[in-house]
Amino acid sequence: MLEEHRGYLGDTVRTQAFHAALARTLKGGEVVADLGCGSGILGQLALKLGAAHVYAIDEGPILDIARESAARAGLSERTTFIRGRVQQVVLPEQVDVLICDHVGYLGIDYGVLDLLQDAIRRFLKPGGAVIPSRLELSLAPVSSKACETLLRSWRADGVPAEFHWLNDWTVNTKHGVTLRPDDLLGPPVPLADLPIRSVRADFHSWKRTLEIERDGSMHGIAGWFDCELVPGIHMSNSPLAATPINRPVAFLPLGEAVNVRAGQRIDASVVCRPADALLAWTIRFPDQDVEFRQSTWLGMPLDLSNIYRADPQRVPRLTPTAQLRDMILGYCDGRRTAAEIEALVLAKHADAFPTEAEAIRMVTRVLGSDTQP
Amino acid sequence: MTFTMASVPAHVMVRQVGDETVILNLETGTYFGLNPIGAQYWQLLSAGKPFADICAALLQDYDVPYEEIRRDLGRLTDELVSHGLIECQP
Repeated sequence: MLEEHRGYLGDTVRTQAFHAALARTLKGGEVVADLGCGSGILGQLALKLGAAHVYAIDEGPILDIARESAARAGLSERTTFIRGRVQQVVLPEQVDVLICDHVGYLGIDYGVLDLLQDAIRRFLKPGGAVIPSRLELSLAPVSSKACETLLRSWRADGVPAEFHWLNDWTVNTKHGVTLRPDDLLGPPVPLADLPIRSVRADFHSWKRTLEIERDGSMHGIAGWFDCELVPGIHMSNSPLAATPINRPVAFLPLGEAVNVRAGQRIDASVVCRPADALLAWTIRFPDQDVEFRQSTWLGMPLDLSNIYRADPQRVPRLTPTAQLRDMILGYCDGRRTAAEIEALVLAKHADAFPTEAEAIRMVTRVLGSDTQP
Repeated sequence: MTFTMASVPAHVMVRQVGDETVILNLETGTYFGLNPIGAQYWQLLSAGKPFADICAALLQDYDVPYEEIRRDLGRLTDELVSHGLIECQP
């Protein structure tokens, strides 16, 4: 966690871009919501540029670091910290500005569209500003040492043979890689132009033709973004950008490397369902009559019982753990102390737990997560 | 419904989980399961076989009248088309 956020804070290109966007947007006195605030840096920038108040929202323990850092900067009184998933939070007032950097390797892959569109509907005053405002995505055929290594990582020397089957999963995984311009086998093609406020957020499907410019061994396709924070101010993770931010591009592998020739054309389709972290890509080589059909769904463990649970016609029954949780919460009557509840559980339900220590641990966990302070 | 050729759209994924064949429609986020006959039908369809050839192939493996196979696979085809899982050329 710390290392990830140290990376964001050390990315001066990114910070300067957001600073410039806020400077252009704020007139002084605005209320800002920092969505998925992380360390809180964007909210701090807004306050230093004249915003009156920031609601800093994040569901992770990083919020404690944001809170402490704001205190050390003398900004606590002008910041309200809210721990929770943005789509579940309710704010006490509407805000003038939304700001968010939930932009994934392929721009949309971590759900930034749904997150922002929900916040626009529920948090933003009419006429309010949203940073970022637009995403442009690009796609290119690629060949690089790093991609080649990923393509056969589970078959590398030292990996026991009985684990080699996992290579099928790794070629069905979206990887973050850093690419140079000479890692591209052909020019990038525009994949999508997405205005944040209006585009469909839950599903995307694109088909493109890629042109190969030089002979080589193709390892897959790479996708990246150019993010307009406000008109005229951008940040990008493109390998062709003069000053890219420090964020990998999305590498989508072939099932295996394919030798390609200059002048060859390849058909590529990309399908994305960001809310479920699902990506699928199909790459067809008409000249060689070869097709690869890959998906992150094929690269993850799949438990059929989870699929059956999603059936809307099913009549659900509580699991044993849920029944225990239900029982513990049933003792919360607004008068009993935590110690009394623990004593009751041990006296009446000891047989439901493997050990007394585990019973105490569960009571502590449930009361810690499901009751108000 | 019958077809000369059917194809699986880019937003549909198929996976074998134990004895079950599970299909995911990425556009709707919904899952479908196929029994062994359905799985065999899907494999032949994905390979570009026309409907009549698929029926003939399954007739060799299962001891049922041709009309029953044709009718059941016709219904399965209708269901798969209605859920956006295959696209057919008549």
